[in-house]
Amino acid sequence: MDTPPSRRHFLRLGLGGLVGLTCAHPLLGPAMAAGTSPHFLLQIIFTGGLDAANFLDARPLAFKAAGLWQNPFNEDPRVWRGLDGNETFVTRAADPLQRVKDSISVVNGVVMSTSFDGHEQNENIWHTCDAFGGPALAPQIGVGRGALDWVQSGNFVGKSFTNSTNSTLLDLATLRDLRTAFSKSGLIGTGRRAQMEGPGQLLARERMRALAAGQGVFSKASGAMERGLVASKVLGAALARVKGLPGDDGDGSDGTDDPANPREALKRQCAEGVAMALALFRAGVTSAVTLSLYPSLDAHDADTAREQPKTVEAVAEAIARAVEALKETSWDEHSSFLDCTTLVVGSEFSRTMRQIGTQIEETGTDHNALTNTVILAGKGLQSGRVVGASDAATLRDGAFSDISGAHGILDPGGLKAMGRPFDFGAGRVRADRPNTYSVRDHITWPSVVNTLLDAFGLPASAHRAADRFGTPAPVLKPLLA
Amino acid sequence: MKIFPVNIIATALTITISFFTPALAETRATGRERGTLRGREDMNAHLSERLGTPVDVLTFVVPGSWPVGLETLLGAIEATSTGSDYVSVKPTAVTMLVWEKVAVNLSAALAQACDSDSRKRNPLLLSAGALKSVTGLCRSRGNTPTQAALESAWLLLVGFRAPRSSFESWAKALARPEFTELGPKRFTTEALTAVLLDPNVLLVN
Repeated sequence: MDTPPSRRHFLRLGLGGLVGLTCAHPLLGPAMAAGTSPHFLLQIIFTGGLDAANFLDARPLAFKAAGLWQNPFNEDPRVWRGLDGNETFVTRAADPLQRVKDSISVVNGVVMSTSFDGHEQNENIWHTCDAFGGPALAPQIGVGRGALDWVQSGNFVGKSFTNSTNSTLLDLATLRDLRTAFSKSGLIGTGRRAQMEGPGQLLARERMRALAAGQGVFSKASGAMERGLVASKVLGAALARVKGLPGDDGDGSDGTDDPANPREALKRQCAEGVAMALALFRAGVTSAVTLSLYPSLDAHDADTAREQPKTVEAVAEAIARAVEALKETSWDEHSSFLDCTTLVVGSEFSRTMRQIGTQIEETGTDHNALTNTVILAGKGLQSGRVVGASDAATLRDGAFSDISGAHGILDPGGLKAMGRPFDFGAGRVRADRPNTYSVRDHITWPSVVNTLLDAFGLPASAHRAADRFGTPAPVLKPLLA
Repeated sequence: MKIFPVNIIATALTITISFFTPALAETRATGRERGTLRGREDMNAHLSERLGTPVDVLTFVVPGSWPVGLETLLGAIEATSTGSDYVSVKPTAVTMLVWEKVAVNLSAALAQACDSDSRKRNPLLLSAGALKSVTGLCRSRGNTPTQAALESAWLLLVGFRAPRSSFESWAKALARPEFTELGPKRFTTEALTAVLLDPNVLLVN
């Protein structure tokens, strides 16, 4: 049976933290020093390609009648008005998010890529701003803020992360094994015994250092081994502090899912992943966690497309519970985890409005990297905002009336929505329709990333470029707290 | 076009030598980069052959149990969208945490050969030759094993993967007080831990 972590679970996790965490851990990095507020990054990526039109960037039912947009909801969307007065249409699948509406901001019309529409390429973009991979955002933020720069959990299609040498893939079962195994033996922990190395280990490290100093074939790897062994002591101590994992009090699931109910499984996996992330944050294992979940969003076939209302609602429920967990779990007596965590939720791209050659009732949808929606919340960010928009949003005589020349060039088949031009100075969507595409005109994914880097207080020199020519990707100032 | 016979000869020699050099043959067989961790499967094969008994390093992370979640942290092949990839084969804090655990616990199990109770001396069911090699380290406090015993124990775990100088460094270090003052079982555990954590043992050559 599925029993995701309950509110009671998160309450216990929070109360546990009050006991010893009003002061910083001795092993944590500078961002966690005594007297300073911690700052964590939690990313949740729902891989497969979440159709923004089925969620937080919906279209009127008239678009379906015109044969332009597959709409599995068969009803008109509702208006979602932000605290800033900006609006977007949302489907009923987004209803669970109403519970946390004022705690999150929505960014629509994010251009992921004009050249690549594969899962792996766009997942690489999501993590690194480059279709071919490179330095990922999470370890860039997490470095020096915990024993590990980054913990990834789930299935990652994009894997070319060049700055993830002090990172690991970790699922809940593995974390439990690690903690149980090492805590039992005392090899890890905070005690003297745990930190002490025998002469055999010290001799091994001496040999590694000697080989690292030479020019032999193992020179580089021996250095990495020695550094790894030293760092493993800090990691071990942090792992021994991990408390409050789902199932610790016998109230979690056994990790098995009913294959007939994948949507419940998704909610459980997300809730357990969030609980794991908070436990890792609290213990000082890492300050950056990415959960990669794989609901059935890749709706190329009509049957999967028809299931999207239920699937997307499960995604929304999972997100709402994640935000609630952050809000309701205490970091210390003064603040919740939402006060010290920046949350980023999204998918690698959106989807096309329909496919060619099928009836509107029988169509699936394909990949669309010309627009995307991302949800942001937590520390360093404004909440309750709606920023950006996509086009293909107005009709005249049964055809779209707001497609730019640039859009027409990038999407000659007219199957996609595309992010509308954005005025970064004024912080609002532009009304013009450029004839040619320029990254300077749009909210691109690197703009979202740079906004996050600013929220974490990193210098502008850390910013990612909008393209490989080094074009700046402006920060989304309306989102910064 | 002018052909350089030296290049052709060199290439031919390289190819020929690779078929007769275990290290090169192994790299080719595993498809793995030199200097990455060998991983669970490769280490299991190596240790099982050397010790004459089936060995699974996973069971030494937590003695007596089989922590399924840790499998991939010991190095494993995982399917990707474009084929397969080796994961957890870079030396990091996480992988070294696990491999250190394997080294310490496996060494402790081997050092049972020094137990005063003969019924407890071979929990791993080592081959007679392997047991004899380990027992050679069980010297009394204040002494060091003979050079022959040290060499036998080194070869037992390393085989011929390491240069002679690595053995000599290890053997010399065992004469230091921090080792000689240990009792036989602890001495053997520490000596073998150093061997099992040696880059020549853990890394793809």
